[in-house]
Amino acid sequence: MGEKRSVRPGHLLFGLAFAAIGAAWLIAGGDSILDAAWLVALTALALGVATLGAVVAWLVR
Amino acid sequence: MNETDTPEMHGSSPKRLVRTPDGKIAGVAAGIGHYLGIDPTIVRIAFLVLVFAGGVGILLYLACWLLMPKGEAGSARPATPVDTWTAVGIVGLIAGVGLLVGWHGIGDLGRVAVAVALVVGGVLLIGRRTGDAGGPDDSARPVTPAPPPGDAPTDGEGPEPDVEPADAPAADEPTAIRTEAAPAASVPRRAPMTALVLGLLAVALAALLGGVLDGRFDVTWSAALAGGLVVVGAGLVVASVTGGAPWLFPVGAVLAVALLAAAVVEPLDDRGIGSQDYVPAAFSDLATEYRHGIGELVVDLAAVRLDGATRSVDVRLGIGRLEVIVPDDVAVELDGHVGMGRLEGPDGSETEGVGHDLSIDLDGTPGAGTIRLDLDVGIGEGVVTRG
Repeated sequence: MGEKRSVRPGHLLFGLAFAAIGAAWLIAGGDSILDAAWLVALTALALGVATLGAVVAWLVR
Repeated sequence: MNETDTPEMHGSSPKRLVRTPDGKIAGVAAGIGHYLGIDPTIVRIAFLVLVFAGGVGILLYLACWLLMPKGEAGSARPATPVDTWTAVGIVGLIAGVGLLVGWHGIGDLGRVAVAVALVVGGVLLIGRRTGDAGGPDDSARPVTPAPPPGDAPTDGEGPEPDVEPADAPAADEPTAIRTEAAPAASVPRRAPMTALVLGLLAVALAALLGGVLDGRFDVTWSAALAGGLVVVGAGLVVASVTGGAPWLFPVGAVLAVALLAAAVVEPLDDRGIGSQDYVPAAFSDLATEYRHGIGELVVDLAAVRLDGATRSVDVRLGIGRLEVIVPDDVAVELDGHVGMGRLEGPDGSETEGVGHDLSIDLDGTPGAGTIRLDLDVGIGEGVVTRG
């Protein structure tokens, strides 16, 4: 009773990553093969950061 | 506790779908409403709407009348208010069933797809509230008895039962009786975020499919998948503080992979593979845009007479070789871009490399007209010549 809600870092990080990928494509996505290339790079970066963050959060919890 | 609010109603006996004697006609709508824990008026409206779907509402009502056993007076659960998402689910379910019986005029396959998506979304959204058709995480979550009043867990890790006043035992009852009257299996659980998000996605997908198939709007697969990814991402962020939704991870991963695949394939496959020639014979045949995916694209405009007019034409090729032939007497305003490869203008000027642009303005015969070319080549070669 009276405890604060804990945040699940995995949910938060991957949620932000998924939302960022989707929003970036909706805002700046195009219809050329080069647009697909930067989406692949962005996806790899976002999911990589989320995975790293989740692992660190798991290690230090 | 009121007179009709007995322990038997709420869990010690299994919920049964029965007609209630206190209904408006035969107690069908009231029985369904009580079974789902929603206002029977919603069910009555649903039947009414389905009456206009080829009379399905009447047949359905009669079938329910025959199939549903009659319950005892006062045996129904009291209806609880309908929240927004449950209402969306009900509307989706009704629309899906209506669509399945031929409500709309879109193609059969599309109609079935839309209807199935609506029904799935509706069931998920309604089920997340009633607990009868919850998401996958519903079963994975341990079921615990309702905590004493004022002692609900607040750490976000547990199921945090969402006890409704009608289901909560009265404070003046002995503890032993309370325990028997409200066993663990009957305790309402937190509405699963997975079911909410997936239900919304299904309803949105149905609306999207319906709109696209009906020709009301045009949405690419990648845009639809990106929208879904945003919804799943937002659901995960919300779930990070409200108890978790582990099944949204694989859903998000699948959507992300599908988005990548669509983003790669759309620029190529959407416009065709192989050789493609466009040879408009007159000004009226001239399109404003020519597209091709992979291969060779030839746009021969040599026979087009502009007669002093100015016309803009976009030509896009994903991978391969592009050749545009313009009339020999018109002025040419060329604005070209190549992602990786080479571009050459009608005057012999060219550019080559990664991410290069080529802009050229060439005069033509006075009064012959002007053609504005916007060229985009992803990977390959683009050449503009005079015919």
